[in-house]
Amino acid sequence: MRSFCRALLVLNVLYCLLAALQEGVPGWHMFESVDDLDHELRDRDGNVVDVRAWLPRGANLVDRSELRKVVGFVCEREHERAPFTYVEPSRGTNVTLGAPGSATVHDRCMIHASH
Amino acid sequence: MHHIDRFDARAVTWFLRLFGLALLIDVVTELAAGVWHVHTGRFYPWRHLGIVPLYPAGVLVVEWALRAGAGLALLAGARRAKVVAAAVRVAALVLFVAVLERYSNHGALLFLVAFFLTLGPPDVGAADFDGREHPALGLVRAQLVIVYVFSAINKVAHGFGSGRSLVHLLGGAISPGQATALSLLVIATELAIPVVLVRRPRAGIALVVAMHAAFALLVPGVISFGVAMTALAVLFAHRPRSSASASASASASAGKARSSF
Repeated sequence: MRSFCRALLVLNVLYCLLAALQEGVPGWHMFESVDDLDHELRDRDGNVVDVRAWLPRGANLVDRSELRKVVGFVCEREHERAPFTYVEPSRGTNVTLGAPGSATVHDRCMIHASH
Repeated sequence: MHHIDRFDARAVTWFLRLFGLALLIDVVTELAAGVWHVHTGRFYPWRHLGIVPLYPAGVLVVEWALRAGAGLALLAGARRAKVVAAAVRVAALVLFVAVLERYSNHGALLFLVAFFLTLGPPDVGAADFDGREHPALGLVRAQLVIVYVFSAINKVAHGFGSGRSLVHLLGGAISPGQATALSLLVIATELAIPVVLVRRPRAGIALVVAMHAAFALLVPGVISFGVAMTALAVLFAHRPRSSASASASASASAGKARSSF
């Protein structure tokens, strides 16, 4: 048992080293890199839409790509309020989402990486 | 020097109770946060990794019930070996599935602790508990060192010390100067805790409680993680060698007396 536990400990430490060196591998990363997630989503009437209302309370958005996925989800869910205007002031992003068109609602609500 | 795999029965009892409490708080936190709506589809499918598909809300109820049940069992029956053994096995299995379904650091921590405990569920009522080695509990205690040291390393590597992450996380509630000072303090505290726990366990436990209480005030949803880390810190506590030996020999004598009847 003792040797087995020692082996597990070594594996545990080796894994944590790998997670520290390799981006994207889950490890003990705790809020060490939080993006500036300045943003604003408005519906067609100009009302501000609180994106966090579609997340569990206390969910910590730490990167912009995740924020954009949540915005896309809200746009799809609330498509009767479309078109939406989505702005990220610090990046100069200003896009219209969910505007009527031939594409699917999902495609019309997607924020492309180029923005 | 206190042996690396030797533990104080009283400390282990309190560790088990606190770990049970952390399991309970985790379920209550998820309930209050509305994780239910993630599973019904009303909310954005908020989760990390997601190795197992997002399961229906009905399965989530079973998962919550088993996790809360295991937590309650540990809280109420920490001194009963069979209760502890059953509770940690159930917790390890359910937490493993939960981590695969929605990964989180505190979920991974709770799973690892439960899994390590399944390797040698502690029987704190045993007369010779303090005198025996408990390598599985040694793994649990080492987990605290791993979490704090690697958390600090990752923070240093990603520039957490600049304070920018804290400013963004707290929504500008603190100035950049305060954020830098606080960030450096967090890194220093994380690195200091294992050393303080080994040298002065009570001071170390107080440091862990203070740091996680501050986190809980600033960041929502991290109380369970703080309670779990406090549970791990309690494992470093031990009575002075003389009183521990006296207690162990008294228990052993009592055990012999009982068995002779």
